[in-house]
Amino acid sequence: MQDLLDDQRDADADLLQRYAAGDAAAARLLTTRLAPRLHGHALRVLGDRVEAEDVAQEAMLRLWRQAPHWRPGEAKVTTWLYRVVANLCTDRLRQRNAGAVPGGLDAVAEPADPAPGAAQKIQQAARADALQQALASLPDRQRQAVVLRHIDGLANPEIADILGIGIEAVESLTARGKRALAAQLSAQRDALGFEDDGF
Amino acid sequence: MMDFDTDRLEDLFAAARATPPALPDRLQARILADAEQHMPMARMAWHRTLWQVLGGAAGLSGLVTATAVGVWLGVAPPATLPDLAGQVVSGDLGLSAQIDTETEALAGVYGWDMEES
Repeated sequence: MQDLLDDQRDADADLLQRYAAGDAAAARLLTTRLAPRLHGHALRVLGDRVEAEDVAQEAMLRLWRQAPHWRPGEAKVTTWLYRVVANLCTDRLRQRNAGAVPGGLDAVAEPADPAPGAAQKIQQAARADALQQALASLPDRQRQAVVLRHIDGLANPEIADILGIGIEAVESLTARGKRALAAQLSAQRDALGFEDDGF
Repeated sequence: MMDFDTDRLEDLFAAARATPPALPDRLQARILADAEQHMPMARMAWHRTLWQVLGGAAGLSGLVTATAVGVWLGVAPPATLPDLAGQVVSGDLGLSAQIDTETEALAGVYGWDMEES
């Protein structure tokens, strides 16, 4: 697994070097590989399509500007980008009105590969919306840590690097975040179709 | 009421991971436009470099306009200007007469003739 991650790191860094050397195809590949993850993360954390798009574009713009100065081996491209996105999200969250609650029903995009039937599709959408609403109720830092850990699938040391905190702090944030999510979602258990599972 | 258990939460996370939001086409286009604009100039293709050196569309349109005006003035100059193009074509530039006049004027100023020395 670690080898796979190392390979991916090298691939991103190699593509960035190719872009810095004037290879336009490398820019397209980097965009395809990285932008969806950044956009998805920003959308989960901010709960706003327009803001998420702006954040993803700004993060990629900073990557393009950084390309000629990038030093291979010093940092992982994805970690660097997630850190930029996390900081941009934090800035926007701080600027928001304290009374506003992000994460409306239209905050989460439609599933990318909808194959199931109509009823199942509706239930999946309801569950996705419920998760997004519950995420939006978390404190900002908890939400960022939970999304990085459980949706983006990053390891705790990398999350610690991205958020600029210790690993224990990450563990604490994600644990408290999960408890808060469970408490939020338990009230909607029946409505989300979990009542038939014997719980 | 029983709390939402860990497995169900993990199911929701797994579903979220499995169905990531698609990258909007307009966002991809914006990102790629930024990439093209900020690609290091020295290593860009020669025609892109030339395009930027000329100032892009605005610079090139100014250059074309200035060239067209210059050609127009050369082909059909206003009546108040000498027809330089016509003189070049006919070979009658009047340069020998002008040089003779200037030589005589210089002789008057310095008081001696170059051919006397």
